[in-house]
Amino acid sequence: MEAPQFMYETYIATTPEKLWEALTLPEFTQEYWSDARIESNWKPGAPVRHVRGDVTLNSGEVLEYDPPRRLTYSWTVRHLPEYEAEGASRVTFEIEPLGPQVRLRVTHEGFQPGSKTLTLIGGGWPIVLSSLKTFLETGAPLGIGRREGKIYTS
Amino acid sequence: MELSAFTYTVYIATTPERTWETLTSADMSPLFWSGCAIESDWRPGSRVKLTREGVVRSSGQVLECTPASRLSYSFIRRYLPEYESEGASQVTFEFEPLGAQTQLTLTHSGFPQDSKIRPVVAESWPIILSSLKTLLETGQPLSDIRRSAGQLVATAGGC
Repeated sequence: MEAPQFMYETYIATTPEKLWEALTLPEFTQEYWSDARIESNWKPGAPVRHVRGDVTLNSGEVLEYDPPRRLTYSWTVRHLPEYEAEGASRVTFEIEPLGPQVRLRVTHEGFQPGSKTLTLIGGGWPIVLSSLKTFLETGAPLGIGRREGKIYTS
Repeated sequence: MELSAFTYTVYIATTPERTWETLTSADMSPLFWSGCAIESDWRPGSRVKLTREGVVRSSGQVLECTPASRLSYSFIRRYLPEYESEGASQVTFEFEPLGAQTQLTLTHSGFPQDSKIRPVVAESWPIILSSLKTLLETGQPLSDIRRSAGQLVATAGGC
């Protein structure tokens, strides 16, 4: 039996350096990540937060920071109590250059069987990563996002 | 006992109709499908084949076809005996409009426990669907990515 995890690959016409900035800088994430800013100084062990306005959506700490190849941080959902009680999972971003484009692999793991957080993030990542790809390739994000598990369009 | 289905969802800044037309077009598909042309008249029961440079790589039958909404076909890889002997799996695409976007969900199911095909399609679908998205949103596909000597490599041009 496989451990419960979510894995997603997307191929993006960009450079590893630009993709790294888009994943780690708040002024970029708020463009494509359902208005959420990512905040961290990215030192090992430092806090990482996804923040929308004054609401902390998720938080964790930096586990690995190896630009522009590999980023890992822990992840606890903070804005929905039934998810927060499940505790921390972790997400890893791996960036592989492939000619004039990159492969981004996102692996989100460390879930208990039956985890609600796994279902939540499994629906969220394809939206975030589709919008990230569009943002990097066209300069504008998709007109969709998600709040509290529901997709909205703009 | 079957292996789990492979599923992949991607959101594309275009209509379900345009996504459908591009995904099912023998002329457009080689642009984003690693050089493969998908050919069928898309009537239930009709043959579907994927060819590259005139060689049939995979084939199957249309199981369900509701334009711009749902497409399902059976799928047998033809070009290597070890794949062909696994028999047919099933590919389903679902198209859902979301504002100015389309939610495209792929489900590829029906793999035997020791499937050699499942890892291949799990690697291939994200490449194909990423390039389809780029083509629909920018007018140009990604440069062709194929497996060569155990490594993924991108060619400089298209395909």
